[in-house]
Amino acid sequence: MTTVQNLDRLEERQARHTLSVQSLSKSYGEGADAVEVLHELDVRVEPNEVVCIVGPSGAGKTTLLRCLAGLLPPSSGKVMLGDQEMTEPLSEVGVVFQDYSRSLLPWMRTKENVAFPLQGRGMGRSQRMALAEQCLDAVGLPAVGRKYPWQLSGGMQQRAAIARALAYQSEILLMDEPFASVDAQTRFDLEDLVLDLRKRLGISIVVVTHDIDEAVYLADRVVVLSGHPATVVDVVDVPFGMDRDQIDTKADARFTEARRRILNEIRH
Amino acid sequence: MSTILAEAPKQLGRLLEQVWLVAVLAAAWWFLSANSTSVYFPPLSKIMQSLVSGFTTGTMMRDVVFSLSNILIGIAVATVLGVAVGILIGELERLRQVLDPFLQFVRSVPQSALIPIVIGALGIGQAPKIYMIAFACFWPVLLNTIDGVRSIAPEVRDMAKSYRIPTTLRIRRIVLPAALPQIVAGVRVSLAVGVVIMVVSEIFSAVAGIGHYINMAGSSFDISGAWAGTLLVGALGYLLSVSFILFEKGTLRWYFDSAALASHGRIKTTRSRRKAKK
Amino acid sequence: MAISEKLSPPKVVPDPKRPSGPARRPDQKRFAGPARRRKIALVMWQLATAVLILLVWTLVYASGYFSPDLVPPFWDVAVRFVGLAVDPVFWAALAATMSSALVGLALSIVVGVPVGMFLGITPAFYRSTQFLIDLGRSFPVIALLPVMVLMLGATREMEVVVVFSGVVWPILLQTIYGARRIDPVIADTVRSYRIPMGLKFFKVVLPNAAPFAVTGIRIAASASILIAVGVEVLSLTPGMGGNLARAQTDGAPALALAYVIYSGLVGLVLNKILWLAEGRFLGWNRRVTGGGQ
Repeated sequence: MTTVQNLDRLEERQARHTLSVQSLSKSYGEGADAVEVLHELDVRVEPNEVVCIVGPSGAGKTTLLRCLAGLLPPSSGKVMLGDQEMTEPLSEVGVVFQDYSRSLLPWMRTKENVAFPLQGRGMGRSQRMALAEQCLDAVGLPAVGRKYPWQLSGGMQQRAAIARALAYQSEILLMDEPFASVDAQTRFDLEDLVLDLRKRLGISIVVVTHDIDEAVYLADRVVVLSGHPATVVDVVDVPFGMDRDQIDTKADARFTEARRRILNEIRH
Repeated sequence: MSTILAEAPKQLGRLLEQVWLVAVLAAAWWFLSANSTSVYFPPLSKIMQSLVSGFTTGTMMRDVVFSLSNILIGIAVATVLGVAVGILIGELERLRQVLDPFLQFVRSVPQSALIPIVIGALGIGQAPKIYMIAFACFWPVLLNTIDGVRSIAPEVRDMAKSYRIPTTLRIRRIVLPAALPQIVAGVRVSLAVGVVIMVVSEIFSAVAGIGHYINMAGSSFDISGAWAGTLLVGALGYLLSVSFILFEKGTLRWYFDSAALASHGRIKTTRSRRKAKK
Repeated sequence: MAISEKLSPPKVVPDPKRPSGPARRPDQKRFAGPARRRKIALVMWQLATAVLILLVWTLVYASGYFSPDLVPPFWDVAVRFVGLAVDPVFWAALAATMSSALVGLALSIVVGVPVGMFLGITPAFYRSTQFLIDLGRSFPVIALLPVMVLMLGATREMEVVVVFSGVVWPILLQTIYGARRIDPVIADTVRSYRIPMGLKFFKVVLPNAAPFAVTGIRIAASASILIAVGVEVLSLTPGMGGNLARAQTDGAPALALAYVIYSGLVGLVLNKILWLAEGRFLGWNRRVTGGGQ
């Protein structure tokens, strides 16, 4: 199949680094006004692993993701990529933002959007366009590169945003509520895309979500955040391996069990 | 082909609907003023004669060229400077906060109040008028650019940061296009300001220009000449704004199309639904 | 599509957070830190900037590059500025300018809002007048001045007429736009509940158009001062602009600049007041467009 052959170069990229946070706390404001949002978190993302971060709204999930992306400096503790401390965004880490309609630039065609971060690295035009093409193929959007992002459906826009993160050649993908605003069927397709990319490219993926079903379906491990300030209340291992199925996996007793356990922890 | 034929009468109807009132008013003016002996309202035919003779035998052509080149140069200078400074201030939030009260104040100064000072000091030639137009047009462009840069969505800023987009590339490919709708709106405002300053500065004192023409005609009691010049300024103002809007539609296609898709898609469907009912 | 429809620029949508506020993350606003100390630092910086401006001004003056007619020393201007505040001539001029501007503005509200509502709810009339309105809007009214001065003389009435013909357009345009622009969901709701015409006009169309009309009035109000001053400068009609132009021709540039500063302050204060009034009057609108996530 041509798609798979095109992915040769993408596949060389295999996650090699562990992304982790060590006793990370984050407060907003200073002095007496300070509000602590995250308290002493420890999270590890091993190579080729999918980790989901769940928690009730306002639990600081997005804050944690922004720290992981190097967009937000932690108040204390460290964000580590392998042995290296992360103090700014690194090219090993690509981010897929929640609001895809805003993070894709409306004045560029879809392919240019995907290739844009590569231009920042000084890659030549023909080379980056070819890579963008490959990445659009990889996310199942082979024919829309010439269209503007706002001409695409929500699900397609989110695929394009994923393609951009892939084109950036990052080995770790961070996704913030990636499928919050698409319809249920599209959501299932995108979840399967995420699993497929992990399997084929060997990248690690972190997904922030408030949807427990989604978290359990995608993750090798689910990190549960709760409380004010938020702490890690549990880490649930999900033993389904690389191959999962929307119907069978979700009907599995272990799935139901993991889901019940997380739901209970978030409620209390 | 058949659809074009079917559309033609409808298009014609639309066109008629738009022009009939103008035609009626113009005709009314023409006929009602035909026998006018009033000094202040000369017959429209006489005004037209003044206009034609102004172009054929008078200085009108030179005046139009003078005025147009002033305003075009002035706005070009204002736009380049306004966008450059606006991006700088918009990107540096601290700087903007410090400068904010000063900018608000300068914006509120009636630009025409400065004309006597500038012309009194720099003379009545062409350069002071261009400075004046550029100065007056600079502020709308500057303030709109600042607003445009600041209203860039935080998601876009995060994206640029996390993909490590270098500053020059970011300015060129993100900040400038994102602020462009606002910048263009600022230039549109400054076009109106520029026309006013152009006319005012020429009326105040000049050696050429349409404003000068009107003023000369008025002070020598050539009323139809003054009316002719006034109508010409109106036509010029209209043409400038129409051509600018055409330019705007051209450069901002992505903006209008995406906005139309986002909000007016609904309106269109309701409309067509209503039509289908009929 | 009709050509003029294609050509009309996008209208000004009343913006809840003018001057179009920065797109901020809500979490940054909530945790603003020790606001007081930051505020003091900001004011210090602003004072420093003011000192810097005066310093540059003085340097430019001292360099002699510009004639003292253009750049008088700032202390002269300061003396004149303070002097004007206790000068009845100045207050008379201010009153004259303000009253012409406000009378012109009031007239254009009285004309612009009803006509705008009417055109907004009758599409046929709207299409017929569109070209005229476009023409009127892009017409630089100040060009009418020589003709007006001939007809009416350099008088208060003339000034009011010119102000009116300049500021009626934004009010008219914004009102038309507001009356035409009804959310399709609301339009469908009104239709499905079979709301009668009169009720629909007073309870739906009018409140919907109000914020747009008020925005138009705010734009018109600041324009009215600008036009009034411009008219006075050119025709030497008594008022701030007339005094200013006379001061310049009499060789008192410092006095002229003091007038310029006052006219800027007047515009600034007026803008602030109108902005606050708009907020008070149409608070619901800001809440709807600004507050919701």
